[in-house]
Amino acid sequence: MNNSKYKALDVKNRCENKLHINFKSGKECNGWFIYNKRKVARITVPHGRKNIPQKTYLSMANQLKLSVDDFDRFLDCPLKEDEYIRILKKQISNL
Amino acid sequence: MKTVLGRNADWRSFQASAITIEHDAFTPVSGSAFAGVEVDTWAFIGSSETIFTSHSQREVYNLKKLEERIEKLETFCKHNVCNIQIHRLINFDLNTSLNIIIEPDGEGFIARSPDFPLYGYSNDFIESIEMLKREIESLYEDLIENDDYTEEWLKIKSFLKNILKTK
Repeated sequence: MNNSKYKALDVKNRCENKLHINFKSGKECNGWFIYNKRKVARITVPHGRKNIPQKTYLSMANQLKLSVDDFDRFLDCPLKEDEYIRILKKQISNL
Repeated sequence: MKTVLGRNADWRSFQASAITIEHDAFTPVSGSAFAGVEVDTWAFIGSSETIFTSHSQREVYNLKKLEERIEKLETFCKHNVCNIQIHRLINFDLNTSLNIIIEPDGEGFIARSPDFPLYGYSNDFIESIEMLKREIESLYEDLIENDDYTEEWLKIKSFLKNILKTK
């Protein structure tokens, strides 16, 4: 688990740049991954500049429907949007 | 007033009117406009300690004793998984209580609900619950905009529609 490697802002930036997620501004920082005009996954990124605690990191991975390994790869960069969609399609019928 | 859980400034916004402590010897304070605080929780601490609050049984209890009890709860949660039931959100009441799991996470706490893929994180124990409540309300606001969601979210939308009621 690479939670000590990343800060919340890194997760937000990856989600914006790789999955085109638009985050709400304000008290809650959350946004939807949209595929084929349907909202599929919703992630919340905590405020703050510190490293991400383990359970929060795991919760964000779950929100994106990724395993911790895949979430690590998502943040490290090898996992791109097309692979992400393939992972989602394995989990969600009729996506 | 002593600061409790970093929430001193927010005590009054808690609308302190309804506290019921079950299985405990908290003394109701009568004739006071602000003598208690509503914590909305039903928490199990070990096998013997329980905090239960319910707006259906509106009573006001001694604030100092409640502060002590919440501090106990926070201390317990620093090292243990804590199960809590909430009876309302920020702007909504709940037709049925929701189970919340609070765990220590790094320097803070993470509050999660088994019913939704949501969490609330904060360095403050109570604040983590508040953050989760905000998350649930924020999700509901998103979901009622339209039906452009996968089946999973439409089910959650239906569930939330059934349990949320305007205060």
